[in-house]
Amino acid sequence: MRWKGLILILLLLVGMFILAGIFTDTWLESRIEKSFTQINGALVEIDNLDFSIVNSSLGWDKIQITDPSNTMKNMIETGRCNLDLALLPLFYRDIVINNIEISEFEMGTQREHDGKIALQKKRKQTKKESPGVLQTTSQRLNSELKNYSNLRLQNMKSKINTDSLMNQIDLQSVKLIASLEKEYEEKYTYWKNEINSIEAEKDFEALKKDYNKINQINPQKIKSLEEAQESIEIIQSAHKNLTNISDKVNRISNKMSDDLKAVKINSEDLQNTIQKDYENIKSKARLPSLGRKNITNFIFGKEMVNRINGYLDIVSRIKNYYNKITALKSDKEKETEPERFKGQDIKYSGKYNFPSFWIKNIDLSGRTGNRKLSGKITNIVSDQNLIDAPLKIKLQNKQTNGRSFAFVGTLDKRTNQVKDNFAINLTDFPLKEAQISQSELFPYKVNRGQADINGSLEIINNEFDGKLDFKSKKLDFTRTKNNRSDTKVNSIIADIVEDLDRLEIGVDIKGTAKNTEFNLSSNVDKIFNDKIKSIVNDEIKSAQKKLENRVDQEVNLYKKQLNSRIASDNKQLKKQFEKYEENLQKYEDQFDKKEKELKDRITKLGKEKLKDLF
Amino acid sequence: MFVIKLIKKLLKALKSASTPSQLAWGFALGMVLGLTPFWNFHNAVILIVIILVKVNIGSAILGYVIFSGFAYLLDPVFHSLGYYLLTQVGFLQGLWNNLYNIPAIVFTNYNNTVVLGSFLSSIVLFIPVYFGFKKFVYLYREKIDPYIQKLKIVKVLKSTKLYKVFSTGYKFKNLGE
Repeated sequence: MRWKGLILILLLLVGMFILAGIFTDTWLESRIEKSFTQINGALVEIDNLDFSIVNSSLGWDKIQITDPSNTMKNMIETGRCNLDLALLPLFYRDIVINNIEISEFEMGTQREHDGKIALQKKRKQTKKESPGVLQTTSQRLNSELKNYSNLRLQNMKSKINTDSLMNQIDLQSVKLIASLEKEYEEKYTYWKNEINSIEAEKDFEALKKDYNKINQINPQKIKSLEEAQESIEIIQSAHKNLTNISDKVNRISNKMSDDLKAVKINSEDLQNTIQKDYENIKSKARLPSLGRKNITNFIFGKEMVNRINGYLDIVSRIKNYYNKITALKSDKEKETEPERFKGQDIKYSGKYNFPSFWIKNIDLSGRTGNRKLSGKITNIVSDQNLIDAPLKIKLQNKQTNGRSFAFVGTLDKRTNQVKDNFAINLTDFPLKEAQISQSELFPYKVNRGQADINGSLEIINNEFDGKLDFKSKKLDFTRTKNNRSDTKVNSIIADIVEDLDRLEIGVDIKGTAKNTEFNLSSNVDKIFNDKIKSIVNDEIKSAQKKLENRVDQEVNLYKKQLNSRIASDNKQLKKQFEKYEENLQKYEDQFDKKEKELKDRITKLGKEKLKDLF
Repeated sequence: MFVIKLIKKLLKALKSASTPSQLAWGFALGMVLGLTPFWNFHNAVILIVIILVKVNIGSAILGYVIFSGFAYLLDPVFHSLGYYLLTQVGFLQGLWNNLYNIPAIVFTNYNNTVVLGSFLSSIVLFIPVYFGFKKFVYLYREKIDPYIQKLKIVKVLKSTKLYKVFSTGYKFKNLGE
């Protein structure tokens, strides 16, 4: 036995106790700060940590957790925190905290210095995390809303340029008239040729021969009835020839007239084609057709999306931090290729099978903004299956004036189907000075009013379903811009807002990794819609009328040209026929005259014969 | 330099007043320290034993240094052995489970694959290493050392001032002998 050695050991032990007494708190403080900073991704600072192994207690005067997205702000700052640490699990290198009391809890406080850290390279190459469904939804909402509102705003503000539109459109009605003109052309040529083929000269030559033959007949020289009868037969034969020619001309004339008349513009077809042209132009003009959804989204969309994104961000952070805690389990217990010299701790069942990390209960009190807050968080644990309980969060505030706030959340990872629920309720939330909409069409802030906000969100694996109801009452608005009406729409909104004392907005949101459905509705949709529609409809009608006039103008021009041509051609052709008819008439008159003379002569001869008899 | 010091330590220890048993105990205990992860409960016990009991501290350091090198090479083997014993051997599961429910035992880190694998390996090696080293001490003292002392070069070296200074300084450092 070495007595000197025994003294040395005793001295070493005493020295160790003294050093532990002096440096444990500092060492532990720096270790915890380092670990928390790594988990948070931004600086975590603890003031005056004190640890007592005898009382198994740990505590500090203040903790500041920097907001990683804004390192000049603290996400959480607390006053005194007392931790009741379970000693037994420390033998198993598990951290179990029975209770944490947090006082003076505050969110979003300003930092004195930047809490940004240079991110250290991780020891192990971890799989790159893809953004969660909540972040993806948030991005989708932002981008969709941006595109949507830009398009509508442009449509509502821009004037419709009819000239430019007319140049873009190939009018079908004009084409229809052009095709009719072509048809007419073909028919006209045909009939012109037909007329030319009548052989009028030949006909008239024959008639002239008849005429000359008839002319040679001198009724005074006719002595007998037989002679007279012969002459009449000549005249009747000539008459017959003339009638044949006349019939032929009339037949051709009528047929041509009918045929050419058939080439007329069918007004029904043309009207249908013109209607199609109107529709085509309107579709190109993208005249605004505002539905209920459009107006609500346009006016309240941005604000509601921002609010939803705010809630999604909080939920996303809670989930993110909790995932980091549950990852402690996988790091420690699921390692198959441990680090060199570290080995792997094998866990066995039994009463001491603690989770790697477990905070059984947190009681907190503090404030967020001007609102006092108290709450309870239970079972922040690395493996929920070991304790068979989900993580629960309950933050609330109740005031004597009836105002209240509550945030409740449950994160359940006990089965493969990860199920999280969150709900937020605000009652009689004051809206004074609040700007409900960020749209330039709604330049108002609330002068007086209260709101109830109720929201819920259920997330199952990578799908979620959420609702948010904003119900405000006793509203009174103040305009933030002096000039009352920049546009007609602004003026209408001003009229509506002046009478508005209740505003209810509802949001439904559903999301998967691939798709997001976002629906917004409000009680003032109909009022907005009716008023704005009447204004916009007038503009639409005016633009439509203008476009129709332009189409009519173009169509009428072609129509007039075609009609005038048909009329002119008809006239010319008819003139030709008139000439025929005139000539035929002349011959007919001659024939009639001669026939009459002959008939008179026959009568006279007949009387003379009778006189001779008696 | 480190290797020269190591050889010197070995030679000094072999020639010291310690008995071959003390030297062998020291070397074997140093081996356990070297093969197993240092910051563990059993090593604290071994250290106390080395300090309190009259084993040769020099040979313990020597054993620690030599077997630390082996430990680096054998670490994956220790892990596999420990993992096998802790998870694959059916009849041992009850034992491990019972031990796991005694917090003081868990404090020894027995359920760590490398700790168990290396500790059991060192226990198995303890007896052969002890007797082997003891035999080597006898052999050194009876045959190897007299032969070395008779070598002319050693005589020449020992007569130099440098040797005297060096060997005196060395004595100050070896408090445990």
